[in-house]
Amino acid sequence: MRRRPIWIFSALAMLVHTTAVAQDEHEPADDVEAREDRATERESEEDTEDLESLLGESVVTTASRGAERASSAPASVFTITAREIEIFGIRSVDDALEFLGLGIYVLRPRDYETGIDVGAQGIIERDGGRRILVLVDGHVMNSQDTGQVTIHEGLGVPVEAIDHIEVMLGAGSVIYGSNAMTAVIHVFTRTPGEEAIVRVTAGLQVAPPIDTDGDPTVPDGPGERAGFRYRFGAGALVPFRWLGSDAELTIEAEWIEDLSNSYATPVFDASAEDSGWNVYAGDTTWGGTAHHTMQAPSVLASLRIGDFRLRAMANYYYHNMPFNGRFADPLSREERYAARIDLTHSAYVTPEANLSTRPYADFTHWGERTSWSLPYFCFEGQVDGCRFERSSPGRSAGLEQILTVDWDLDTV
Amino acid sequence: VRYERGFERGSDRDAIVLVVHRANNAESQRVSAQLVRALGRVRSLGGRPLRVLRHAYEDEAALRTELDRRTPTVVYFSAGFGRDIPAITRAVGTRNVITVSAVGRDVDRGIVIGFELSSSRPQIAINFGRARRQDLEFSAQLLRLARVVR
Repeated sequence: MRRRPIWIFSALAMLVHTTAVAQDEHEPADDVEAREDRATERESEEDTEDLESLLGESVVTTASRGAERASSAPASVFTITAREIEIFGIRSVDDALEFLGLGIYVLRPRDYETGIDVGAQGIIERDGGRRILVLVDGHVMNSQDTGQVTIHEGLGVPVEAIDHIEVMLGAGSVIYGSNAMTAVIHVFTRTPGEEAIVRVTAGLQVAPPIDTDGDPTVPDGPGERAGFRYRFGAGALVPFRWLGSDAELTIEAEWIEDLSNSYATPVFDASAEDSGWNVYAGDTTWGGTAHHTMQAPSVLASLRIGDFRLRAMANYYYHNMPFNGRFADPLSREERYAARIDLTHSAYVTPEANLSTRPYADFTHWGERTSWSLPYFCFEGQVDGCRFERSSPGRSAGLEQILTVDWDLDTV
Repeated sequence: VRYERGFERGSDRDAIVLVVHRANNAESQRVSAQLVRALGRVRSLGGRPLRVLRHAYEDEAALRTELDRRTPTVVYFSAGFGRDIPAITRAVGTRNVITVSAVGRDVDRGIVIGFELSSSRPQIAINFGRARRQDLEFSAQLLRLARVVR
């Protein structure tokens, strides 16, 4: 493909030359010159179009772990850029996939339900994302314990840190292992350019209360309130030199808090034994007006010196779940926190061979707490109800080594 | 090179591309070998017969000598030259030669044209001031598509 502009130019130049010579015998010189000028203009325009199409094509690395044009990658890969994320006011990875994704479907209950699922290739399962693989700069974000992954605010990647997202549709298990069954979502973070950048962002969203029909209303009833969702972000991308090597420092931090608007559901009679709404003993009704709170602070830091790159990510995610178990129970909540660290060394040991070594360690925790009196959740005898808790702590460490060999090089 | 207006003026000469790498840097050697391999499939550059030469960078003086001896049309610097760009710029001086780097950031330091990735999209960077000092005149069509450093 790279040869094409030159080839096109050569072919067109020959064609123009031949045409001009043939016409020379029959037309006045001025006409031939004008014709040549027009042909040259056309060539130039076509050349520019060719260059534009080359520059417009994404370079992707997810399909075969090496840089290649998206059109020649051995899988369907599309890219969502930071510019697109900014233009459309997108604030999380799931929003980006839902709004800009192709062939991928995000099932996103609101924050008061547990779980978020992503489907691709016509498959979507309520399995907490076990069939997709999510990577941030090559670091696996799926829990090493359950295989689950969340891609909303709980992923813990500040949106300003994102440079682009590559989405590879289809199975990628040959390269990436068991989670990569329907799609691989690879988030690449920004790196500093020639100049240091410090950035601070803030955002506020306001929402009115919602009535039982889903229409906005004014907050005048008990428990009704307007919602506020705000976020602060701060980041620095600093290039510098250290001990004769190029070095880069990237720090991005974000705080998101959602004090939701109130939303109303019909009130169901829970007094009958088999009504289906008697989730907690003593409650005569289920439903009414509720709201939730969500907090999601996250920080991502990366230090590159020469061929070494140290990266650390930490995040906390909390939201309460008024629809799970006892209605609007302030104790119902989902909580996640994680700390991840890796050190990458990537260097060409010979011009033909690149060796990448990456030790990594993850500490993750997911927990859920709800109140019930149904036998599925409580032990026998807990007839007055119980607090159902489940949690999944994950600790993992490993070493990844990748050797890439290009045996077709004629080096000197 | 088709977008550099002076290129066609020398259409009676071969287009000489000097590919420069760092002798002790494996990545630099890899990038230069990849380019030489790609150029090996091309017989002409902008309608002129193409000759590809290689040079292992040692220092400013050796590069200046090589430029005098070979009189290249294009000098391509592969990876790993970050801290040597000021010396390279001095060696090139005001020669009418298109300096190209595989690293976009080198353009900010004095190379005329570089290639970089911006949010996964390839981008051309052009040092406009440096191009003028080297008597290079790029078409507006190319400048429209490039990140221009003044």
